[in-house]
Amino acid sequence: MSAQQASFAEFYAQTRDDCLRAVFASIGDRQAAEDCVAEAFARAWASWRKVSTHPVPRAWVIRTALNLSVSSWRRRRREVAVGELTEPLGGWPPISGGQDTDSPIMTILAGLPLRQRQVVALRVFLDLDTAATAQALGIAPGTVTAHLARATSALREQLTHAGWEEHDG
Amino acid sequence: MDNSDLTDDALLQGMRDEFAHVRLGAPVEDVVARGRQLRRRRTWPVLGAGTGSVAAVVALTFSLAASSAGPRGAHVVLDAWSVISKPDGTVSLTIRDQAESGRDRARLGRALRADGVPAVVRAGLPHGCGPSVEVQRIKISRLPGAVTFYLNPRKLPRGVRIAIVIPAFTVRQGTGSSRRVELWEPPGAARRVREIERAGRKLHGLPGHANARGLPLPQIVVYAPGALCESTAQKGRR
Repeated sequence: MSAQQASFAEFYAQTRDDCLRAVFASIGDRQAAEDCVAEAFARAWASWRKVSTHPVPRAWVIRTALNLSVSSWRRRRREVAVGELTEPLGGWPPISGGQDTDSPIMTILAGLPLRQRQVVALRVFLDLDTAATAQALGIAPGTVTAHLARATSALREQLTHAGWEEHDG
Repeated sequence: MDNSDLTDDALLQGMRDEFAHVRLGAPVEDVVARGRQLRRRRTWPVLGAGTGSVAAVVALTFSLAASSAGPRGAHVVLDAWSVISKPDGTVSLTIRDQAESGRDRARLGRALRADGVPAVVRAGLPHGCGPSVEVQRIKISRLPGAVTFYLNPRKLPRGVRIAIVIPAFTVRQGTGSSRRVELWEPPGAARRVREIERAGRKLHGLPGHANARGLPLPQIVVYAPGALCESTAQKGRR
């Protein structure tokens, strides 16, 4: 394994879960998030010389994954649903479901505007500061602050209303 | 609980905890392989037309050599699918083009059996498939445009069979609002291609959901006579 590949492998091991969580929290679809994040990491490796010198390579991966999810949505939106063969094939499970969408936080996140979800996801899972979050999303730092304040306020209010309690750790 | 009780730190930590179970399973080897593929795509169009034709001949020669029926352990690498066995006995099956792989199912099945995998390739689940045999030994890697299964036939319980289920249709992007739905093995009929006049029109009698997101992915079913079967579709969603 070359030194370049070793550095990418280390980067991948350290950041892949957090990147997936951030993208999943942003778009709300586990399977699509996995696809987009895996593809974003592949693109990061394809351009590793450039990406490795990026100030925040994780943010580059997230931005690429979010762009991919938008492109994928544009391709899908006019596609056609056809009849059922699900039973003979043993029943295909829904793309997302179960534990992922039953979470109260996930439900509340899904009700927030996209930008607010993205800002929260980057702050929570990647621990990016305001400037890095703004750079990753291509918006002004002041907008990040405003989105974060609104999102945390909405989350706090709705979680409290739902009887959600603080975790012990 | 009052609103003020829930501090920002507690809120953000709670979110981290809620998502702690979310992990990305794709092995780094698959990501690197996909990255290399992207690099090649970026680089090759830059080559001149002359070198392009030479490359095509070389690629064709390589493809033919690679796909020739060889002894056990031989690699078969095609555009639509590949079967590669490793010295430790692990066999990887990658499906990149579902429709083409479905049409080529006889050769795909032969390649798997040549590598010791007791497999058949089908459009749907086998009827009356048998005991619930664990599929945890089958590793799955999903990248956009490709699904790879890794399994070691030596580690499978004796007497089981493997069915590679490749859903019997695919969708090809059309222009404007039209889409081509291509079936490689419609029930009881020869292969046919249908043009959908406008998006949103319901097609009766076609299998499954034909949008790209809901398109059923290939799966592996491990089965044996006399009991229920277990498929990698369930495993992949756990």
